[in-house]
Amino acid sequence: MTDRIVLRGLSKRYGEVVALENIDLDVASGEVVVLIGPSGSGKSTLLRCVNALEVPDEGEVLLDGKRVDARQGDIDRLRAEVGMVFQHFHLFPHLTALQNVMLAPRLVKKIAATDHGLALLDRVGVADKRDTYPDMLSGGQKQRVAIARALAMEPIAMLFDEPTSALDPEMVGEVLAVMRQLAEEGMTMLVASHEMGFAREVAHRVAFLDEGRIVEEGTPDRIFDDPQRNRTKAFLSKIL
Amino acid sequence: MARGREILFRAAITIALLGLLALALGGSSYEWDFAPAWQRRNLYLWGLGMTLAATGVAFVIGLVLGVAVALARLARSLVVRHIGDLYVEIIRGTPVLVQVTIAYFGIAPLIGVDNKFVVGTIALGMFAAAYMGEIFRAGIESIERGQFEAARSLGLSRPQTLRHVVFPQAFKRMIPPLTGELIALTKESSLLFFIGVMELMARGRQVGADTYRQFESFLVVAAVYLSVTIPLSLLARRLERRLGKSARAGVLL
Repeated sequence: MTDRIVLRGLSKRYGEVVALENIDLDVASGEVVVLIGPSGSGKSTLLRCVNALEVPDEGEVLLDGKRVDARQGDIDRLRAEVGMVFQHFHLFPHLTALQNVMLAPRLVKKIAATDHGLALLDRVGVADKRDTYPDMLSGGQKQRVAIARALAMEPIAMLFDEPTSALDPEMVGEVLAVMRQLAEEGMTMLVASHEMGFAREVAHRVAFLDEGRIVEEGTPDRIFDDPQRNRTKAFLSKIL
Repeated sequence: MARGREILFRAAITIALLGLLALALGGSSYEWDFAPAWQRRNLYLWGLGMTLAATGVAFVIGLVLGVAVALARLARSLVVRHIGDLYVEIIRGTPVLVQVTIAYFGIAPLIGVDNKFVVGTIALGMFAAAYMGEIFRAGIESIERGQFEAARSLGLSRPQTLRHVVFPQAFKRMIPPLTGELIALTKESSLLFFIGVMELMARGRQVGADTYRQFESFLVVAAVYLSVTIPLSLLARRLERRLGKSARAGVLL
């Protein structure tokens, strides 16, 4: 298997606060890696570095072997190669669900295929909402449209930044179901989440982050049933 | 229903107050004569036409230049940002009458332009751009960061993000303050009389001087200005209410 996403010695500070400290992580093609850890442990910053929404102070990010650099000319194209799903959806409120999905392909790839957009909405189960504006969608529907929007650029990998944390409990399941389906189809996924059930069931690998470091990583069974580090044990005992 | 009654009530109060004012003025020793003004009604209409033309052209210049000012003040380059800041400070820190005067008696002869209307409206438009630039900037900055990030993460370039994601949302929020700016500009265009543009204010002076009826003439001028600004003001309030409603609905969901 080839490595889709490679992080080498990634470090990021905000003034005195260390957000990431010397992170090494490889995500292979088709692999699902779930990042767990307390709030502020650096999960979000890590994902944002992959997409060049943050510029790391040290280290590098490689996508299919190509270096991600926010100052480089082809950064827009590289960004389009990984889909990003945000905690708070960030759908474009002035566009319908279908227009949200089709905006980037239309502008960046110069293709305006309604069929393609509809197929994506159908894939996440909201095809009947094609002409609905985001403020008339439920949280779960919004997040599913956001996933379809990210998929529209046919990314080589998907990043999920706590995709269910802003949802009402009864809507978490529908979003996780879409993510599970994506994983089964072989999508490469890097997911920051507090959904331990999802991590255990879907992840190939789980990494526990604390204070900007990867404290421990391994298969879900190993991390959840047999954590080696005290900090991992302490975190899991609080959350499970 | 309550709103309809309020409007009726307000209209009744307005008519009553105007009636009282008319009684008071009619009962004073001043002898009213609107006949000369009425005879010269075409002069007021031409003046109104010139006022609307100057306001309209200046508003369009202000819109275009205002976007440039806003983008300059939000630019990453310090030089560009500083030029934008300077522009706004200088324009907002000097009276518009001084700017119009400098433009017509100073800059225009230098570059060999001798059209009062052209010089006056460009000066007025440049003045409006400083204020409209601030409206644009506030509008752009009111769009949450997540919108930029979502657009950029999809591979949209910075200009594409501004044009297709930020501007359409920001513009909606800017409509009420822009309408306010249009009202202000309608009134400020009266300053062009100073360089000899025959707009409404200038026509009011002309009729007043010709007929020795300044009071009547400028009451007519005031009424004509109000006939433009009040509908605009009502429109602005209506838009604000409508947009406010949709914004609230957005927050609730």
